[in-house]
Amino acid sequence: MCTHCGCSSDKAVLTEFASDHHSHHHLPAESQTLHLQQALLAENENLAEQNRHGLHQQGMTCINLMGTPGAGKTALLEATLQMLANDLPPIAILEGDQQTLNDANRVKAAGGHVVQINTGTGCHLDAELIKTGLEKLAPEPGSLIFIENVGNLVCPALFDLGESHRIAMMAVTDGNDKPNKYPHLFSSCELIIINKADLMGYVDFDLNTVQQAIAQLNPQAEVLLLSTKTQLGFDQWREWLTTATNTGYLNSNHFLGTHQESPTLPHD
Amino acid sequence: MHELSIINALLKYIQPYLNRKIKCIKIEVGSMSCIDPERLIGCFDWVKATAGLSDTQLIIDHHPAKASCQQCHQDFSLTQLGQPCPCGSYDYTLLSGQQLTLTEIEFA
Ligand SMILES: Nc1nc2c(ncn2[C@@H]2O[C@H](COP(=O)(O)OP(=O)(O)O)[C@@H](O)[C@H]2O)c(=O)[nH]1
Ligand SMILES: [Mg+2]
Ligand SMILES: [Zn+2]
Ligand SMILES: [Zn+2]
Ligand SMILES: [Zn+2]
Repeated sequence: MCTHCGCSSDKAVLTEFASDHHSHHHLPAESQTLHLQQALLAENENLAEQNRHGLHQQGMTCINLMGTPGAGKTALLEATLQMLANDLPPIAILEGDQQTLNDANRVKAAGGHVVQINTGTGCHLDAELIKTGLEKLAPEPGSLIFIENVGNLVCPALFDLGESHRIAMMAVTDGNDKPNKYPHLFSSCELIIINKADLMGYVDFDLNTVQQAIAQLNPQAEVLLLSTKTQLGFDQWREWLTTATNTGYLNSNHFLGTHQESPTLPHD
Repeated sequence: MHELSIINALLKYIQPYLNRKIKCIKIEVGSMSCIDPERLIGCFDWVKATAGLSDTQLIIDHHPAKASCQQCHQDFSLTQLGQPCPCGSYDYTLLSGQQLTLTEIEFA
C-alpha cells in the first residue's frame, strides 16, 4: 500500500467467493447455486487505482473534465494554456472524443502537449484507455494533466480513470435543469463550472435555481461561474488549480462528493 | 452504451462456468449505479446466444441506496440522488448504492 495516499493496487482484485466457496464442489450436480460477490467494474477500478498510484508517485495532478457537449471544455483548456501556463506546472492533455482530432489540434495550437484518444463507438473513457494514453503522452514528472472526457452526461461518471480531481462543466446556454437531469455527473465532482457567463443576459438562465439544485445534489461542491471568452472567473480558476496541484490524491475511487460512498473493503 | 460494457464484464466472470448449463445469473444493482436495468437486460439478450447462454436468464436485484445523515445522524435509504434525508437535510454520506455485483450463478 502506498503510504502517501493510502492507495493500493491490489485493492480491487477479484473478490473472494462467499462462504460457500468450497461447497459447490460437494453439492449434488442438479440445482446448485454458486454465491459470489464479484464487482463487475472491478477490472476498471483496479486499473484506475494503478493509474492513480503511478501518477501520484510522479507528483502529477490529474483532472477529469466532464460535461455537456459544447460547454466549452476545450475552450477552457485553450484559455488555461494561454493565460495561466506561467502560474502552473507543465500541462499535458488527454483528449477523449468519439471521432476527429479537432480538439487535440485546438489545444496543440494553444501550446498544449496532447494525445487524442478516439473511443469510436464507445461513449466513455475508461481506465485502460487512460493507461495507454498516459504511456503515449509521457508527461514529465510533476505535470498537471487534464483529461477532456467524452461529451456525455451519463456514463463517464461511472468509470473511474485514476484521476485526482473531477470537474463537471456546463454552460448557461444548457438551461437550468442540467444538474437535476444528470445527477450522477454533478454529484460526483468537486467543482462545477458554469461557463459562458458572458451570455447570461441573453438566455433564460437562473443561477439561483442551478445553485440550489447543486446544493441538494452535492452540497460540498464548489461552483464557479466562468467565461472563457471574457476570462470572468479566471482568478478563482487559477486559485482552484493551484490548490488542486498542491493537494494530494483522494485515496478513494468512488467520487460522489459529500455523498461519497465509503469503501466497502478496507483500503489495505 | 455503458450497459454493454457491464455485460461484457459479466461474461468474463461467467466464462469459467460455461462448461455447465447455467439457468440463471443474478446481479445486484444499486439504485445509484446509473445503470438502466432494462437496457442491461436488453444488452444481455443481445449477446447471450453468442456467449453460449441462450437458455440463461439474467435477474436483476435492485437495491436502494443507504446513506448516513450528517445532520440527524440517522441512516436512511434513498432511491434517487438529490433526495433529502427524512429530517430534510441534503448533507449525507452514501454508505451503499453504487454496487454492480455478480451475486449468483444457478446451474440447471
Ligand atoms: N460566448 C461564449 N462562447 C464560448 C465560451 N466558451 C466556449 N464557447 C464556445 O462554445 C463552443 C463550444 O466550445 P468547445 O470548447 O468546443 O466545447 P466542448 O465540446 O465542451 O469542448 C465554441 O464555439 C466556443 O467558442 C464562453 O465562455 N462564452
Ligand atoms: Mg471538446
Ligand atoms: Zn499512492
Ligand atoms: Zn459509456
Ligand atoms: Zn437527517
